[in-house]
Amino acid sequence: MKKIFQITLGIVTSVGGFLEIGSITTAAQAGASFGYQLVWAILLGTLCIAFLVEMSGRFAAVSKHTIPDAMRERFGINFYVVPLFVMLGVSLLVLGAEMGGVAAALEMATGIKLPIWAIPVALISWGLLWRATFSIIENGVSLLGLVTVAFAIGAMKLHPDYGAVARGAVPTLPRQDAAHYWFVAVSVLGASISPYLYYFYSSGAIEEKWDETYLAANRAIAAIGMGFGGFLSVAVLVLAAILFHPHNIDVDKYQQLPGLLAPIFGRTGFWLVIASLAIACLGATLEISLALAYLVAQGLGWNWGEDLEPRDDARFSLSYTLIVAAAMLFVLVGVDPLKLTEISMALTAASLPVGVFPFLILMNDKKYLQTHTNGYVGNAVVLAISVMAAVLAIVSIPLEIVGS
Amino acid sequence: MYLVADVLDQQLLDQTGNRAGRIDGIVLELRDDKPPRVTHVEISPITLLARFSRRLAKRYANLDQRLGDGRGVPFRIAWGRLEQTGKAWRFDMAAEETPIFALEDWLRTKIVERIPGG
Amino acid sequence: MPARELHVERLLGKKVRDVDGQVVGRLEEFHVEVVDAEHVVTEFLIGPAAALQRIGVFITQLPFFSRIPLRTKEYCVPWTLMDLGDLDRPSVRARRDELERV
Repeated sequence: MKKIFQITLGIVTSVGGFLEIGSITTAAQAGASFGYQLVWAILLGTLCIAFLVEMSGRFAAVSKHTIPDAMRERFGINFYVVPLFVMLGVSLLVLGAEMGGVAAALEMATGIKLPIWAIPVALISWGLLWRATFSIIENGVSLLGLVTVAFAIGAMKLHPDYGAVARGAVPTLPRQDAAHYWFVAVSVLGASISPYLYYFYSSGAIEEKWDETYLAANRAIAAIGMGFGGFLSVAVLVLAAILFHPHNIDVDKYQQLPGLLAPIFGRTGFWLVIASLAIACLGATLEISLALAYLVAQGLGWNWGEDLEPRDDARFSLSYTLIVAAAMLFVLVGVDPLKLTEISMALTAASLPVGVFPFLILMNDKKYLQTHTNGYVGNAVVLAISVMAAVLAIVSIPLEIVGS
Repeated sequence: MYLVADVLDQQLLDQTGNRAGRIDGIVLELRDDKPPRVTHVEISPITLLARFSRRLAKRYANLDQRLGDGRGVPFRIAWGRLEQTGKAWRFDMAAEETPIFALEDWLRTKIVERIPGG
Repeated sequence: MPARELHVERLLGKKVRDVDGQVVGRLEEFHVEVVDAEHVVTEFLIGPAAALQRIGVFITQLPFFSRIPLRTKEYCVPWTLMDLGDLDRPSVRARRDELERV
């Protein structure tokens, strides 16, 4: 019974925690610019992250190691600093975008300008990390994140052409604006396949003391939770495809996001988008901050744990404090969260092999996983998609810069 | 046993099971007509930095020296005091009694405990 | 004669040459055994030197890529043949082709 409850909770929190500014914005941009043509990018990204999350949970449950632990041990510090610095750099940009997302939601709710919200958002985020347990952070915020289901309800109320949506699941070449098409595709992939997500997940599994009895639950959470989360991203794309695309409206300002639900639910729709953006981005802020602090603390062998009091893991606690403070600066100087999201998602895609390749090597190492190493399918899916995403990103980022 | 695969960069635990850093370095004694002998492991940011840049390590050591007596040099644990537990290595002291936790202790007393909820 | 120390982590990755000055490879591993109740290094493992080959070794650890027949030269050198007189320039007391290939 307890396991069923935990599986249910895990699925629900995966769904509630799936959307954040990256997935909302990139899905909206994809729908607005290209209609249903980029549904395949969301599906591919969701498939990849579902596999990665399952692998991450399995790795932690069987080996009793987190991914950063094992990476330092297996490859040594001279190698470890490469994914460490790449992920710190790219994820700090993503974190800035997420905190900007919370601030943007508050600006739209109150009219008070975005940079003014930088410090309050940072303090709330930091306060939750400082005082709350892992359970509250992981479950509490994600449960509130179920408000994002409003996007799915809104999309269904518009009675989309489901056949056309299904056809978008098959990759097609762009009919126009090829450079922008591939750039948006890459941003969608980067938003879905965020390394911080599965790095965080492995630490969470250790925090919650998973063992081999959790393997089936882990598979269910990854497949159903991520799957349903991807469905929500598709819903955002469908909304933008119906409401923006026919009028040639591109999504290039965050102030346009309430337009995804306001035409359907009126004033309530406006508040649903605000709440979705604020809660989803706050959840992502907490996850990314912890993921980066885990990366540093575990790599260096420090005491760590969200369930510990800050005084018992001072270096870990001060790590996430500094990380939140650093990311806050993006919001404080007024960097547009949408622009920051676009570039950080594309950079995430470009840097995927740096985080994924060593992880794949670990997932095939019997010393860590004994009989639970990866099968052909998991290896093939993750390898193929991460390489594809990186190649596309390396090609499309310069084209997008030149094009714009 | 292989030093790089099984010892270097592995997690170190103190006698109470607390994480006490990672094995950043291994010291061998070179002897005439005898094979090199493993004598100590080192746990220290100085040792870690030296793996990238001796100059950086020296700068850190100079800064660390200002923090008190006995600082500025890597902390060593004699090989005989270590025991392998799984992939990790446990040594027979509490980490708080060693310089390993010096930075952690300093941060705790000077910063963390002064913040509400710390 | 006073004992000398060496740090494993500083020796790791250093290029090793043979008696003719030819590059054998880079130091990769130290095999330890218990002899007379002491943990001693009995063998040194030397792997490929060239950067591309080392990247190749990494790539072949990835799934599916392990089938790539990457030929790298790796050597197992007993401690008696290892010359650590100059820790910045370790060498072996034999010719490369006399060493045991792994």
